[in-house]
Amino acid sequence: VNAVSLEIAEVAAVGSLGANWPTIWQALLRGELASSAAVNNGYPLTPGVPVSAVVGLDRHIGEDEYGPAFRLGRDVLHKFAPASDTKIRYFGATNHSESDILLHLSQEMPETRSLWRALVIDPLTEHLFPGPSAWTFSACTGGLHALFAGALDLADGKCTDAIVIGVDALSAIGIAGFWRVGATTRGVCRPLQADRDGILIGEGAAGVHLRAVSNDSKEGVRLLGMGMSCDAFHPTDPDDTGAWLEQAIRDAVQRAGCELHTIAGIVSHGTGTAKNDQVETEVYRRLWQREGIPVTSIKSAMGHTMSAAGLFNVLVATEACRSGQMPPVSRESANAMHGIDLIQGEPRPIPKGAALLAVAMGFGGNNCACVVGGAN
Amino acid sequence: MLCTHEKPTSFPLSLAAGFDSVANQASFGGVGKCEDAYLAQHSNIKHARHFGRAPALAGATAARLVERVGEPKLRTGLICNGGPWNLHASWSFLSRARDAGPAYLNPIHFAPTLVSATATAVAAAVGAHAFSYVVGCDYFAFFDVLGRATQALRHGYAERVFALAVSASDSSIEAAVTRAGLLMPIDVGLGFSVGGLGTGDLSLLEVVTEESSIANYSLTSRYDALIDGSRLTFPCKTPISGTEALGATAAVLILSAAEYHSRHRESSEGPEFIVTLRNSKRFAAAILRINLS
Repeated sequence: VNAVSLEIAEVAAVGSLGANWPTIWQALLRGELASSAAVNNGYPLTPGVPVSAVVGLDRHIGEDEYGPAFRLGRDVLHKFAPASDTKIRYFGATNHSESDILLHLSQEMPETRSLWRALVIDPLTEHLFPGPSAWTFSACTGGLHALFAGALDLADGKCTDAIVIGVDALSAIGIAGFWRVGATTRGVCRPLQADRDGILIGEGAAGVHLRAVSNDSKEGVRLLGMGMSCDAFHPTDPDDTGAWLEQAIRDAVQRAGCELHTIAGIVSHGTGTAKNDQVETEVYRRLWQREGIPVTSIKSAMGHTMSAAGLFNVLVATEACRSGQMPPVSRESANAMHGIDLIQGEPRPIPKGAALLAVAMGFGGNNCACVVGGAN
Repeated sequence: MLCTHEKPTSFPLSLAAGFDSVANQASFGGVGKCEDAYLAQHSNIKHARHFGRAPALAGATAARLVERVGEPKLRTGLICNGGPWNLHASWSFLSRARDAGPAYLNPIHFAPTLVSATATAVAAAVGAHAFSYVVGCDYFAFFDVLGRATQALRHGYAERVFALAVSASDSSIEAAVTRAGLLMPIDVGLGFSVGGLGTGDLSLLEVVTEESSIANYSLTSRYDALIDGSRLTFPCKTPISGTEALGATAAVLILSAAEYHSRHRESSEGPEFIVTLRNSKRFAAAILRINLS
């Protein structure tokens, strides 16, 4: 038996709030938000739908089959600098990958054989990573399922380092789909608030470099525990009872060796939709009914980044653990849902090194939770 | 997180074919041509007609697997191999949005545009509450599926995992592969229940991705597959010779090798055997044991 810990050695991201993680983090602390109309980002089918877009992202689909999702993933991948003597594995997640290739093929000529091939063999999964890789597809929990795969490979000694990236660019299917199911906000996304009216569709890539380190090491931030479950209930809606989400959270906390009362805060999935936020807050109220717990969501600021969303939450939890402050859901005061301690206005101080919960939920009922905390 | 590098344990594998294939050069079903009428009747997933054929085939396969191993009273996870299984739903959805306008889209059609819907739709049908996701999309995908399944079992995330190997063509995939100059995928629907109760038809000892990891099995019979481009070489008869099975390839190779190994057990080294797959970029192998004569 070989006991190890999993250190979150590096994090990296590209999103609507910035081209790197430090910039995004500072913007989150300031309660900034990035939103513009879909039509201004090249999506005229649903012109008025608000989106949170990465400024300057090249959305061209090239004959090399590369498009915006690939470029986002590559940008994040290049920010990591693992040591050369490590045994690295790469783990990826995406929802709609380069699905705008379909739009390209329906609109533009000449068609190329490589673009048709890209519909059968996903160019993102085929070309993004330079070494052994595994891709996981589970909608908006994809990033965390990929993180779990990396963590378990590290635990099993299959690699010394795992680089995990979740990536999704805006896509015509995604924008039209969320709009048509009635899930998009008409104005400002207000997660976990009584007057919420839907998601802000976002895009971006988030990455985590996990490393197996000695259990004696007391430095850095650790991935302490992970839990997962599936409602197995409905294609888009969460199970009303939240029973399976609760089980995933309890499992993550238990595996982390923590108690519920030792969790200092939650970086929630908090999409801003009626059903998701209702179920999520109900579970938090049930689990922390006595002491309450600070809860935040970053989706009002940078939108719902789809498969990257769970990893973005892990990045926020990691940075909050390091810095001792959790970002607010918005700069202004918010009309928080009943019974939750929603962080609003200013960042919330928490003890440095405290354990935090990051949550993701996805279409099809998948739930993922992980506990991040200081080495001590 | 305290993690233990646990000694690999073997897991029972119980098998089910998603349909009765005919004239497929193999004694096992689930490979060849599945009739659409059969799929329509047996897919067992809600709104099946909005999905492509592969998700429907996954549903039919899971239903047969449940018949074989019983209702999932155990904490069950579900993993499918990936592939272009959402292409039909995506293409239809986007065409409708473009031609008629997004207001004329049926909201029910949105979820099937995700490749993960293949797994989650089936999970809802069979009550798999531990997890449900899709893994990999290249020829090695089913090795990845089995690897993740055993990992989840070893670390206590499930008591049983339904590992589904699916491949199918439909009008959208047919159009794309034709224009891309690729081979048309054949229908594959193979279900593996990994872990759980009983001894299983096979035992899965290990799934590895490095050749050095099988050095300990030097005396074990090996069935080595090589993929050069899309051309497959395999030492025993397999129903996918000269065809295309994309992410379900490894599952068919495993069953082809199991069938051959079972038939030639007296002349082979024992009940254990290894199936390997290699191309210019990757290597993967599964170490298995025949449990039934």
